Amino acid sequence: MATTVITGRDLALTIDSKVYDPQVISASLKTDLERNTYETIDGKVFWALDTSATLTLTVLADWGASGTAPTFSICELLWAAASSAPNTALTYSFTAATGAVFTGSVYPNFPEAGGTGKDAQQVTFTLQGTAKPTLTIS
Amino acid sequence: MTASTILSAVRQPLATALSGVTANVFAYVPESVPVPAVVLVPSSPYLEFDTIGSDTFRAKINFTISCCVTYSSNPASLDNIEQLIESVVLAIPAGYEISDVQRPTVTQVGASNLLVADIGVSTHYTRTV
Repeated sequence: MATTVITGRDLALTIDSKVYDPQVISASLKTDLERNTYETIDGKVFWALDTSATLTLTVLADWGASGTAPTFSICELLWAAASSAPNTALTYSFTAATGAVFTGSVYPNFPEAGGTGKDAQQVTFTLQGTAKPTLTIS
Repeated sequence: MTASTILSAVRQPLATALSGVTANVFAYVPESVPVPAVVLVPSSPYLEFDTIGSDTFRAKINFTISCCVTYSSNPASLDNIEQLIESVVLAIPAGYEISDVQRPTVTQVGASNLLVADIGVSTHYTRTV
């Protein structure tokens, strides 16, 4: 079998149907499976209970960019959503590589603002998923 | 519509922003350097690819802005280059990271000696079509 290599250049991300690849420095989608462990007289038994997902992003801060079409500010999108509709999830599409796409929804959160004097401002945030993502292989 | 280039989208606009500085400003390395001069030079690494995706060309671009003045008397030349550095830093537009200024050094260009200091700047470029 040939070695397969995929890189960050294969990643693509949309949130609320908007493409944010030009701003995203790193993106990871983590899905957790919660298991209970039971000690029985026959030994340990594991039982899956629930799944959860989080989308963690580090982006170049883009406060103030929403008015510059076709740019959409991810910081302003999340701030507005967290302010006005914090319990309404936003859809996302996370492409790991061509033909492997995770989709789902995440709840908005307030992005940080700020940075160091000499560097581009960056923001890291973790968005709680509503459920396990759906993986589509094509 | 013509696709953007690094020259048209980054180097020339940066040189234009610096045009108010009292010096000859070049968006490229000239064959000869008429002092005082400010010259945009690619730094190393020149291009860094730090955002995800490959739908278009995107890169962090690192430049050196070389500030050059005549090197005659040391105190006067140092004062001249310090003033030139101050005016260049003040003229650098928003969206550019300014890292540091390297120690001024005496550089021989042709028959003359120049006092040269390098300012490190970076910005992000996305190719548009």
